[in-house]
Amino acid sequence: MEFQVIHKCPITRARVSRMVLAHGETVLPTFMPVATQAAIKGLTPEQVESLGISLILNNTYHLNLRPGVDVLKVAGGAHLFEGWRYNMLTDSGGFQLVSLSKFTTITEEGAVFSSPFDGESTILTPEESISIQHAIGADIIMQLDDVVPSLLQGPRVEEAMKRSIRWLDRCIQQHESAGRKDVQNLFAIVQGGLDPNLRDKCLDGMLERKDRVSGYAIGGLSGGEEKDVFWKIIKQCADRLPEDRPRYAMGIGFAEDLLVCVALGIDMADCVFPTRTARFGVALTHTGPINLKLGKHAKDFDSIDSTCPCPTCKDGTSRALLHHIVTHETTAAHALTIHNIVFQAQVMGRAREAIIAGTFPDYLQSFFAGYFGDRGYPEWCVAALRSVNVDLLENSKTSTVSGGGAKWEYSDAA
Amino acid sequence: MSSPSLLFEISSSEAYTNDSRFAPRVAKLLIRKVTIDTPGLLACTSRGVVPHLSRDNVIRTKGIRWIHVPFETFLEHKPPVPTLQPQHGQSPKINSFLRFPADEYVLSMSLRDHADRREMPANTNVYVTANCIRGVKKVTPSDWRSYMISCNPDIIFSLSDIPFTTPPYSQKRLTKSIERSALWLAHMLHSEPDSTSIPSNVFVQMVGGASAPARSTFAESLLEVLHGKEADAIQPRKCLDEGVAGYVFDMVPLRLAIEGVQGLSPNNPTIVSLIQASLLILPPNKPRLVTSARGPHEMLLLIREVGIDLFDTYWAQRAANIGVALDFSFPAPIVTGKRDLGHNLYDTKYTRDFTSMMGNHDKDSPGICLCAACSPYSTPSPEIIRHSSMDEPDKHRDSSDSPNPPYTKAFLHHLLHTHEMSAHSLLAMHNITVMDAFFAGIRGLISHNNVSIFEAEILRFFDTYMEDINDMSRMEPSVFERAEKAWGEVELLRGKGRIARETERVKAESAAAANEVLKKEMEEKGAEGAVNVP
Repeated sequence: MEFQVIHKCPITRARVSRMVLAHGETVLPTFMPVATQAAIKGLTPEQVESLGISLILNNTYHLNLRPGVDVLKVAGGAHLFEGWRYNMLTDSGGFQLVSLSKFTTITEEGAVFSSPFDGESTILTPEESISIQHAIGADIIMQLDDVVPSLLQGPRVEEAMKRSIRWLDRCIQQHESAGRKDVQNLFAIVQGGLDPNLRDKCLDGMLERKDRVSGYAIGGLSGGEEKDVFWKIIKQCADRLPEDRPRYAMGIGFAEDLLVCVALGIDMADCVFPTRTARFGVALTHTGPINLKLGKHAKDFDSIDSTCPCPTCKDGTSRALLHHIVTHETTAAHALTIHNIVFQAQVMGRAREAIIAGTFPDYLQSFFAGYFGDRGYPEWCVAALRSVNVDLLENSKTSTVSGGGAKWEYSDAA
Repeated sequence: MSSPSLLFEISSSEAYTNDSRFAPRVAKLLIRKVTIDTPGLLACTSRGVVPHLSRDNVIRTKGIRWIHVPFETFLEHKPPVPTLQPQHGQSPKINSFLRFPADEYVLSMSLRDHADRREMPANTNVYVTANCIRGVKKVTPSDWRSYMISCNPDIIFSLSDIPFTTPPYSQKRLTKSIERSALWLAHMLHSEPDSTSIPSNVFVQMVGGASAPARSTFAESLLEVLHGKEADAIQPRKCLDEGVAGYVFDMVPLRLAIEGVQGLSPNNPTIVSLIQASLLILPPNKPRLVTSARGPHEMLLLIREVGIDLFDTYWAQRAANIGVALDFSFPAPIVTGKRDLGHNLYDTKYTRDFTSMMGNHDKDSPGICLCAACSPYSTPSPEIIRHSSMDEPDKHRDSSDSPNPPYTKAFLHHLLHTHEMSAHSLLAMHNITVMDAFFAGIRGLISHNNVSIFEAEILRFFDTYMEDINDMSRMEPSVFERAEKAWGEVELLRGKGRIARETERVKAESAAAANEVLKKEMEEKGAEGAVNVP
């Protein structure tokens, strides 16, 4: 991997970098849409690339079940199998084992689970995870980590953190011995729950292995923790992670979370949220999400966002037409998925542009004013951005609101 | 403001023109800047959109030039939302609302979805019953006329009284159907002195059910010269037919009607004989459109026997819904043995089939399919959305002049089994494109000026491909039946409502298990009476 930081925000920790992988260049910070089962829901790779997306995520757990490693090997990897010509990242499969399978137990050897096909007891070891990811052939692959629920406390969290370091060694070993180092890049995942001491210990261990990993992810977050805890852990990790490695916040997808993370020094993030919420009829906009299922959109002949460059908006598809088809026709999901992917890419693209121009703090101000101005800034965002010298409340009459602050259009009354 | 009149120019060779009004023909249908070559196709829509195709994929599918929109789903609001669409320049409201530029697409509208064979409450003298998600709505001929004048589609299907009640239909019912349909057509055509809003291109759905005499009677009523008030209402036209731009034959109600009379008379009427009965006395120079035809065999038959010009792609789009990739061409390739019209991509034999959907890749396979699944083109580099000035177009990658590799059967198989929507997008683009190529092949042969070659190729097509029909004599189910079954299974496993079904199953299982325990206990205790399993 070629990784080069090219611009740094003089005020915050934000930065723009260029990452060159086997399938081309991706400029960071960026958001990665998720193609869980080898397709971004409803779209073709030609559509996804037309949206200016150059890095997507595939899920190892799912691809291992279907089509399976054997098929992927014959196809020559996931890129060729699914027709994706740009960069790809795969997770290790560990997260889904814990979140989707009720009967997974973790041993030092690996994650023991019952196969969803025949109920047979199967084990996913760090070595196995890496060799599956080799068969998939993603440009960035992730170590298998010992995932515990974000809110868990007690000795299990420390055990999981320490095991994640030991498993990282096994993943490195497997990766290097397979001779895939020059085409695929292994990322470590910092664990340690919500405890800053454990996070520090994990960082100590993982930073020692810096020469043998291409990048770092921050895992174990976005699982229902307090937002104030969330941003502090991100900041703690981002501050200590090396300058010359990409930093990836796993499972982050709300616009405000993304921009806070970027300000704290994060380069990459992924989440199913923008594509999943699209299927439920929600379009993301720079003034907040809108729920097209609501009756108030039934006779609205404006597009979602007249300034949006996505094919849905550019074509002039009205909110009224989307309201008519949403949740009834798959094309409504396609139209909103296209729009939401472009929205995420725009939020991050404008961040890049502002960092280069030296105006990132102004961008933060204007984005938050547009997105939250009518109902108040989430307190945690204000606090997080103050930690990197940006005060959202400076020169602003907008008040603050406590809680997560995510903005939803639930009913016609709202 | 009404749509410009359509032109229909038949250009068949002499071999066909003098012989019969039912002979196959090639023609051009022109509206504004759009030309539709016939025999040709129109794409079906659901709720105003081509199922599974986002706007950009509709554009990628060049075969889609004519879109047919059943209006009934819009009845859930009153007034219907498309009628409220603000006027943009000269563009008809419905084109603006559905985003089909009037210079690029022909847009036709009917009240009902012709493919929907669900039983409906009976129509009356004053209204037709139609379906929307808020239930059955009554639509009067005046409602329909006003909706259509407001939406202003290129082609309007006049309201016809087509029964969707249980057949057979009595003589009295057929008489009513004929009278109402003629009356409602007259209503659609009536000219208001102060209004420029006269619908210009009205197609009529031909009624009369499975009775040839009733169908002839309806045709006669179109040609009957009107007098007095009736004549004034439609002036300057002398008879209804002068206001009719095309004839429509809906296969779903027609089949329903034929089923109803089966066995009642020694000679069962055929679709061909019934359509001929409708057309026999009518002018031959107007387009003839068939909805919901059951695949290429029936289409070829209707082109050969009745000279049908246009077919909707209901059958091909339905195949895309159930995971069938069409794979046939006209003229048929030279092969031995009979083959299927497509592939049931749910079949596990495709798990490792890395070939494209079209052709068996042997020397006799049909040419390369030009759809966005078999010949996918990347968006040219300058048109890719850039999100910052850093996002430079990749100069080394600009390959938009040659297609990317085709999507494989193995990939489609995977997408179908994982319930990914992309499967149906790729299949819909492919299947509509296969139909487009099929009609291009037909046009090529008809205009080739050689009756015997066309007829011979039809017979060879029949010999080469198995028809998609429920044939009881067949030893095993067809690809279409097998695909439909597999689709249903995956839908049940992974489709909408799966969590509720899963909970029900677990509940039922635990209830059954609890009952087992109870039963055992009772048996052990020697209790009397059976345990009722809920």
